[in-house]
Formats: sequence, structure tokens, C-alpha cells
Amino acid sequence: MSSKLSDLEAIGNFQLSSIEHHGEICCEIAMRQILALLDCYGDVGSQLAYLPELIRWGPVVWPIHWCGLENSEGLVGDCGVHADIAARILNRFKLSYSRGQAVIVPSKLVAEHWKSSWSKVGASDKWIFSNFVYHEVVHIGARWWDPTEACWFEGEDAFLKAGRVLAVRIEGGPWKVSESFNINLQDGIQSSRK
Amino acid sequence: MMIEPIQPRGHVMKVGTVIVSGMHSGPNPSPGLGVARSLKLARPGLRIVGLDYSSNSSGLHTDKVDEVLLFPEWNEMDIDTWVKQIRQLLETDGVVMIPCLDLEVRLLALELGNCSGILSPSADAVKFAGKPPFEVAEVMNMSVPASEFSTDWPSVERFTRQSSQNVWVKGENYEAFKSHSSLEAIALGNMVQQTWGGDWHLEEHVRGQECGIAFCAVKGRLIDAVFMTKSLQTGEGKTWAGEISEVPTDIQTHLEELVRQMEWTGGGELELIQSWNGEFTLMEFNPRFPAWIHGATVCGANLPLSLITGTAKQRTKLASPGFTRVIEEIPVRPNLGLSPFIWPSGDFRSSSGKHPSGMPQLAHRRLLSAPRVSDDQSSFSRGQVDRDDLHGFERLLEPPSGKITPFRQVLLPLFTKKVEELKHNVKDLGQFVLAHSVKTCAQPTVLAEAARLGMIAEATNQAELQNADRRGLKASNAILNGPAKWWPSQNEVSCGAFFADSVDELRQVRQMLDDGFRLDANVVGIRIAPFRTPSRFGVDISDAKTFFDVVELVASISHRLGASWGMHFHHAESDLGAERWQLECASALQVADSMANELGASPAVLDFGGGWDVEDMSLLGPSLKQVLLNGPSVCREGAPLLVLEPGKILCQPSAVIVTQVIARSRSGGDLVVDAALGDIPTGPYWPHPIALFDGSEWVSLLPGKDRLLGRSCMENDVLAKWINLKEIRLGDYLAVGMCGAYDTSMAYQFGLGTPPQEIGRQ
Repeated sequence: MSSKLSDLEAIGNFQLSSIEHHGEICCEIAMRQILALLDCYGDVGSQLAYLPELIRWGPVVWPIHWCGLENSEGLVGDCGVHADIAARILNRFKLSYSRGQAVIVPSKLVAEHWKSSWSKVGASDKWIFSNFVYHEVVHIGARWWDPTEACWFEGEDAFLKAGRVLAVRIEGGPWKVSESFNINLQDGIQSSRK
Repeated sequence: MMIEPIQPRGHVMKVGTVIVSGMHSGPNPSPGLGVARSLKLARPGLRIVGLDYSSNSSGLHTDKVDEVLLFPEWNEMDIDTWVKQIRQLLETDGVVMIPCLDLEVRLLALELGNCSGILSPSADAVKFAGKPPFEVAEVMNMSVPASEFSTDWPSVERFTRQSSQNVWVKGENYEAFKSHSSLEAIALGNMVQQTWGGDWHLEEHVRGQECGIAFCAVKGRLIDAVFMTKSLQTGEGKTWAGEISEVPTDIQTHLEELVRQMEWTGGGELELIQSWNGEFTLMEFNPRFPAWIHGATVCGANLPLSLITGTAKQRTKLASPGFTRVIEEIPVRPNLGLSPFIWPSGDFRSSSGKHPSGMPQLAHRRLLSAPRVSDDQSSFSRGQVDRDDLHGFERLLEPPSGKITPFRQVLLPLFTKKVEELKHNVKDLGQFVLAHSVKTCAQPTVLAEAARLGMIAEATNQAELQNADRRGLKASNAILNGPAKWWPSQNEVSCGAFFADSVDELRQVRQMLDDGFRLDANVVGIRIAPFRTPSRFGVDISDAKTFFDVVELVASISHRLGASWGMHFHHAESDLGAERWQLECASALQVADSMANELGASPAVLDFGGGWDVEDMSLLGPSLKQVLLNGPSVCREGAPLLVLEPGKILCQPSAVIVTQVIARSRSGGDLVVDAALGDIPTGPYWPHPIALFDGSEWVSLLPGKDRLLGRSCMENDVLAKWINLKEIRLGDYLAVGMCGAYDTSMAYQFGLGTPPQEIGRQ
């Protein structure tokens, strides 16, 4: 179990993702285009909801630039990309928020698929640990928003499509860890019905 | 608990764990939960592992599932990893899998065909059972619905029109929607394609009792089967309650042969419709158990158990005549939870809630099949067009060189040809007269040609009547129809016949006669409204008062005019299709017998109207024949004069709009021409044939994905769509055919800076 706790400590050192800008017209056009497409969806909720529809969740090689978000399958970005752009949307609407980090326990069969997909494009899979994964989120008011799944969640212990939230923290703050932290790490979420 | 004995690929094995996928149980359920419940009912100690692709799959939360396996959603799935993991799951002795999702079954057959623990059909068997299931139907000695796989606009338009019962738009992978028109069908087809990937096709609706057969087989040996007749359905047509019975012996024999030929292993379902005379049409063949499978189990036929044991329990009698569903709320698994509400970006929710197992995402990955027809295969190529398919205008059209475009060229020989064709088609039907619908085409040359060919005019107002008269179609022979036939007001009208559009109009005519209006008509009649098809026109004689009012008014007016009486039916065949037109016409006219009794005379004239589609010329004669055969007896005994006014079928081919390409649109494929919506007002609503002048001759353009846009700055100025314009260049001349009917009579000036044509008289 101690090794799992050390994994969590390792996550604590992760820096929040930020999309880079070449300082050239290539990134300027790409960034403006993406933000303009989001602007078509008037209110902040709709823009945040449209974000993962516009930029499909998938592997990217960091550091990523605005002009590199588009590949042959369209716009692709991971949770770091989504969180960074979500923050820009919230800034434009002048809403108070904080960037955040989460630890999620996915289904035991799932992480291997993600590892394989990330590996196939040469992207780093250091966000995938043996029993949990690193995720970037946003804290708005008193609630948490998952910019990749476009949903509100209640913090630690909540369920997301990707799995159960084990711990969350506001940027630079302390972790809020689920009371069932140890149980979840041991069993995953597929344990039999008792 | 271990269950004896057999395994699908031959070797005997005890089954202790069954992995079941497709666990969602909602309004459109998958079969997995039913399979799990059936196995648990018979063998409570058997370990059931529920497998799915979302924690929102509701069946995963039931107590019939001992363990849950969640894979990622299909758009996050790494297929190699999935294959490896499934293989690993089945490595343990005593573990088998019953996959219950169509596309998953197909993918398993492709990727893991040789895996002995999977109780589902092989890739060859699945291929045999494609959509529509032609080969399966042949073995089962059943019919399949008429279908159309060409999804170009003209083909969809034709199939929709000729299908009397509406049509179904069906996806290659999943989904079916009912459609009533070609534009609706194409929109639905595009939606199916967008949601599910793959191609789509059309099937004719088949009326009858929906039923189905569930079966299971191992290595080509039929183990058990049951027959289900739907009693209650959901709004989506899914079974809610059904009667269970044994499969009729003759069908069972064919089913045994079918599974033998396909060497079938696993569950399966035939979706059927039984006609009134008892014949079956095979609608679908599914490579997995139906979602109602537990309904059969509770009636005494446990097919999932039969599948894993390889034997069926002998039945002398079913335990219950049928089953019904109930709704049950259960707590979600505390350690699985539910995914939260996904915030919508638009007004409509995504389909993820409807299909939690993610089959649309799997379909989109195109792991299972290649597109049926690629865009390249339908690309434009000079000289490859079958000349017989041409509408004829290409050969008559002159080279455009030097002419100012756009311009309309009238092709009178095509009008003449159609009239002669129609005369030939109806020559054996009795004494008939052809009428030209003036509103459909008022071109002076066409009116004059109609007169030369011995036609009479059908006019809907006095302006049309006078215009036709000036071109040789004598007013005294003409038919007056519609609600505005006396407009603009005249002191005196002479016509061959008039058919009142309402009882009020008959009263109005009598009052006009009382007020001194001089009317000369040989026939006084009424237009009868269709029964099933809503229409703003015609008299609805569905009550005795209206009937006697009509009789009294017709008798009174015809007596004053010294005229006979007649009856008229009119509705667009191009909307109804020939079969429905014929049924509507024959049923509407039935009242003629009762009127003849009351009036003491048979009708002198029966007038058949309604714009017929140009492609349905061959159906017109037989349809009229059926009306005369099945309509009122006065058709056969009274020898009335038959007036035929089939509208656009005669004049539509007789004009072409020639235009020139002036710009390429932003999208690349679309082109802008110097014609506009005012020149081709019906362009957006039905498929016009288009030809290109290649420098020496006119050649037809083929279907594609491009649009021909009009010159005006209006979003709806789309003259044609779904055609291939890829090789067309700026300055090329294009001809839009079939513009001789409403595209001529309804044409208007727009976007030329000219003042409006003022209405009203000084």
C-alpha cells in the first residue's frame, strides 16, 4: 500500500497543463479558431459542454502547441488540454474558479487500453499508475467540473465515466482523499457484490 | 456450481462462469440481463459476470450479476488490448461468454473466431446473416420486404412514391425510422449514417402482426426454438409483452436447415411479420438472443440454459401463454456508481444515454465492413451513361454557344410524345378525352400543341380559361375546377363542365344564376374529397345531410342549365403513388352510384385528375383500369365519358433551363450558376436531371454529394442537390431538365433589379 501512497505523492508534483503558443501566426490562427468555435455556443455551460465535443479526448505529446491540436482525425486533446481551455472560457466569462487535480480509479480493464493508445502515438503515459490515473479538473464555486466529461461532480468519492474519484485538490492545496482510499486501491471498482 | 456438459467447438467442458455482455435494460433493452436472469433462474449457483462498456448499463446493477467487467467506451478502446483481455478472460476452465450486442458479436467473430469459449456464430455465419437477410430468407422460404439500396435522390424519390405503405430507412449497422417522403428519408438516412456509420437503405413497410423466433444452436445443430407474437410494444416498436408458443413445424424444419448450413453456434433471432393470410416476411436476422428471451424462459423455454448445456428440456406444454414486462427500480452498486449527467452543448441530448453499450461508437470505427459505395465510384465520367436512362431532353437540346444564359428552351416534341404515349396507354379503357391542365403549363406553344392534339383545357379560373381559349383550347369544351373558377367575376361563362369544390359553391352558383349570371355548361358536377388523405379540396360526403344537399343542388342547377351531371376526383399521384391514388380514387367515387339513384341518371362524365409523376406513365393505364373495375358500378354500366387530366406527366419534360457556371462555392464541390430559384422554383423539392454540355453534346450528370446553387443571395436558392459536380468548370453550360410544368408556370423574376409585377387592376 505504501507504494500506492507514493504514487499519490508523485501526482502531487505534477504541474498543471498549459497549451504552448509558438508566438507565430500558426498558433494564433489555431487558438482564435478554437475559441471562436466555442463562442458559437453562447453561455458558459454550453461552451464547456461543447469543448470535449470539439476537441476529442485522446493522446497528445507534451508540450503541445495550439497549432498541434489538430491531427488527421480532427482536434484531439487530453484532460490537460481540456482543463486549460476550460479555464480560458471561465476567464472570458469572468467567473471565479481554480484549476484542480484529481486521482481516479478506473475499471481494472480500462487503463491498459489507455496505456496502449498513448504508447501508439508516442505520448507519455506517466499519468497512468498501477491502480489509478491522474486527471485535471476545475473547481468552480463550491463544485467540481470535469472538463473532459463535461459534467459536475461532488469531489472525492464521486463517480465519473472514467472511474471513481479517489482524491481531489485545488491547485497548490491539500488533497481531499476518499475515506475508502485504501479499499478502492486494493479492489478497484469491479469487486463482487457482497 | 458447474454445469455439464458441452462446448461449442467440440470438446466437453463444465461451465461454471458465464460472461454475458449487453446488459442495458431500458426502453430499448439489450438481451444480456434476460440471459443472466434465465441462467440464474435455472442454476442459482452459476457465476454470472456482467460485461459492458459503461457503468450506466442498468443490468450491471442487478443481483443477477455476481461480478462486473467494465471495458472502456468504444471510442477509447484499443482493439488489440480488447482481444487480448477477452482471450485472457476465457482462458480459465469453465468460463464461457454469451455476447449479446450485434456489432460486438460481429467483431468477436472477426477477431476471435477460433476462441472456443465464445458462444456466438462464426464470421462466415454472421456474413450470411447480413442486412437485409436475403440468403436467410431464401433458406427459410420467406419473403423479404422490397428494398432500395441506391440512396441517390431520384432512386429514393421513386421508391418512396411507389411504396404505398410508406418506407423504412434502415442503417447497415442498426436503427430504423419510418419515412413519408424522399427528402425526409434522405435526412433520416444521413442521420443514421452520422450516428451509426455505415450505409443505409430503404425498405417498404410491411403490414401485419409482428412476431419473432428465438433459437439457440451449437455447431449447426438446433437445440431449441420458440415463437413469440408481440402483444404490446414500446414507442420504438420494442417488445413489451408477447405470447409464447412452439415454432410451427414447417418453419422449424427450415430453421434446422438454416443453422445446419451456417454451422451456427449461439443464440439467434428472426424478426418476422405475419400477413393477414398467414405468410411470413423476414424483417431482420440477429446473431444473438432477442431482448425478450427471459419472457420465453418464464413460459418454460429456457434457451440460454439450453445453449450452455447443449440440450433442451423436453416440453409437453408451456408453463404460461405469454409474458409481460414491469418496471422495477433497483439501487445501483455502491462500488460502481453512475456516471453523472453529461452537460448538453445543444438543445438535444446525445445518443450515449440511449445506447450505453456504445454501439454507435463501435459502428463508427468501421472495424466491421467497408462502405458499400464510395463517392469515387459514382463520380462523373463522360460516355458511361446508359442512354436509355436519359429523359430525352439531352438529344433535343441545341448547343448553347453564343446564347445569353439563363434561358428556357421549350422542347415541344417531348410534350407531343407524352400525349401520344398516354393516348396509347388508355385506348382500351373506354370513351375518353385528354385535358391539359393550364395551371401546370400555360406556355403558348404548349397550349396550341394541346389543342392540335385534340385535348381540352382544364382551367382553375377565368384568366386561365380565356388564355387557353385564345390558344385554341375552346372555352366551351373546357373543364372548370378548383375553388376560384368564377374569378375574376364575369357576367357570362361558357364551359364544357364545372365541378364544384364545395356545397357552398353549388349554392353560390345557384344564387349567381338567380342574380342573372349567364352560364352555359354541359355538365354540372362535384369534386369528391379523398377519404384517407387530408385535402383542402373537394366535398366530403360523409353524412346524409351533405349528400342530400349535393343531390338537390346538382339536380336543381343541371335542370336550369339543361345539363347532365358528373363527378371529379383529383389528388397528386406524385405524392400518393399510383397504388394509393387508385385506392383513394375508387373509394371516393363510390358515392356516384347513390347519386345516380337519387338523380335518376348515370353520370355523363367522370373526370380523373391529379399530377402524375413522369416516371409513372406505365402505371397510369392499369391504375385507371383498376378504378373502373373496382369503383362505382356506373363506371361499368353507365358508359360515362372519361376525362383524364394527369397534369405534369405530359408537360414536365417539355422545357429545360440552360444556365452557366459563374462561381465555385466555398465548400469546393458546390457550384453557383446564373439561374436562380425564380427560374426553377421547384428545384429544392424533387430531383431534376442535369446535363453538361461537353463541347459537342449534352451528357447527364450522375449522383454525388454536391449542390447546384442559384445566383441570388438567398440561403434556400439551391437548384439541385446530391449530384456530382466535381469535374465541372467555371463557364460550363448546364441544363436542368424537367422544367416544363410548375418550374415554368410558377417561375418569377427575382434578383434582377426589376420592379415588381404590380397586382390589382386600375
